[in-house]
Amino acid sequence: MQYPRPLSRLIEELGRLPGIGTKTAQRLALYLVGRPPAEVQALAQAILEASEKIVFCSQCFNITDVDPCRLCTDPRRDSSLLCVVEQPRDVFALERTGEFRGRYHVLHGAISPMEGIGPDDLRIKELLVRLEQHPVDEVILATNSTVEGEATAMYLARLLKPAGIKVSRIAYGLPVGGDLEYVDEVTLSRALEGRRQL
Amino acid sequence: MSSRIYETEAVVLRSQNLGEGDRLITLLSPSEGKIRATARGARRGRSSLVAGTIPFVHGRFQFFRGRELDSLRQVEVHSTHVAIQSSLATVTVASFMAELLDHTTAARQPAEGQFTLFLGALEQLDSVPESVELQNLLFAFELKLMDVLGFRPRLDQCLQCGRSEEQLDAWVLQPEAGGLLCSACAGLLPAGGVRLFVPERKAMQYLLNNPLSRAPVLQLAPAARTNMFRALRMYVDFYVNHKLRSLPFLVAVLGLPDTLLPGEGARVYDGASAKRGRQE
Repeated sequence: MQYPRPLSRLIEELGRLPGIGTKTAQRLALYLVGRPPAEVQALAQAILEASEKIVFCSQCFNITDVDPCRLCTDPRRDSSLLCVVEQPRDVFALERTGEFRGRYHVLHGAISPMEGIGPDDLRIKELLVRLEQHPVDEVILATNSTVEGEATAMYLARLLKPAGIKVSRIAYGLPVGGDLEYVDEVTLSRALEGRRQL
Repeated sequence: MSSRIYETEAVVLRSQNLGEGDRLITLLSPSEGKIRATARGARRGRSSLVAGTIPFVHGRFQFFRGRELDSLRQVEVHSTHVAIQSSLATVTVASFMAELLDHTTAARQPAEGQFTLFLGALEQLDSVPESVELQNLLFAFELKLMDVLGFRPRLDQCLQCGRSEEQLDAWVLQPEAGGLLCSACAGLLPAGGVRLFVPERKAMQYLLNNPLSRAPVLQLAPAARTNMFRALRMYVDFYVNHKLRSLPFLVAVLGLPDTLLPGEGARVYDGASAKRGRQE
């Protein structure tokens, strides 16, 4: 038996979301149609509002509801430090640590030769313009520790170092609380390579 | 052990994100050819499968055979080739080689030659060669890959009339013919191919006939080097028959001319214009 048309359309739409398969979409759709109309209305309104009001910050390209975003306009943050990340979610991950008080720049991806993603597909030009208009003391490259993230970090370092900008890369190594014997070989090689004097 | 579980030596060609915390990996195995498998949870730092999803890692892998995709169960790393990632140029060259292999290797068919060639290239790339050495290595790899795939270019005599190398100083490398043609024979055939002179022809013979480890020492004038690259690009592209996504970035990173890119005005040999040139 087929679902009624409005329900099957809802299942189809939910199934487009990342990480949601057909079964989960069916479960969510059946849950939603069983909820009071006001609750469903509030959810629909929240989705619409987020879709309409969330834009990219014109300075750091993080997602925001005001432009420039609060991280870019906060006078308590250190404007001499700029942390470059791949995605907006990386900004939120770093903010959760409460350790970094500088500014951010979001590239919206990483250089991937095999996927055909080159520097022109990222917000690298905007980063260079920003650094020219607002020079900083240090650029911290916090791209992912993947082949693509490394390639992006190396590309940026090659661009920025000749301009006399101090460029640093976040450290690699053992996960806190992890046992050495369970750490994979690549991470361990990197941890040895990046050892520091005590 | 279940019959659907198998183990093989392999090297990771490619790794893509899949869903929330998984990866989709493509590997090259001497006995299984190209393998595509999922690695569940491999994007989470503490997963024991992380090392098995990093491009260019060589090791012994255990999979559960699926209908379309296999599933990675265990990995024992033999070599990480992590030094390749320390240079943008080496990682780009390794990615280009991996993409070539991805398009020229079939699943479930032994690929001993491709595997040995790639592993040898990764070992050379581990020493992070300089730009010119890297170019030599790349093009030696491409020539040897053509050989492994059964498309070894004939470089010692004209494939049409059999004239040998001593008698002529200019040749045409024509992919359709599978090697060199003398200018006279090339003029009789439909247009196509790149004109080669003695230095680049000898360089190609050197790269094809010597081990990869001896490729970096090749000395060649810049103009001859560019021409050889152009000829090789046309030859390899003809047999690979696939637009390589990493090529534009490779050309930019290695500082090669844009004309090496397909559709960017590469000087293709035209038999009619060559005849006109000779008459003039």
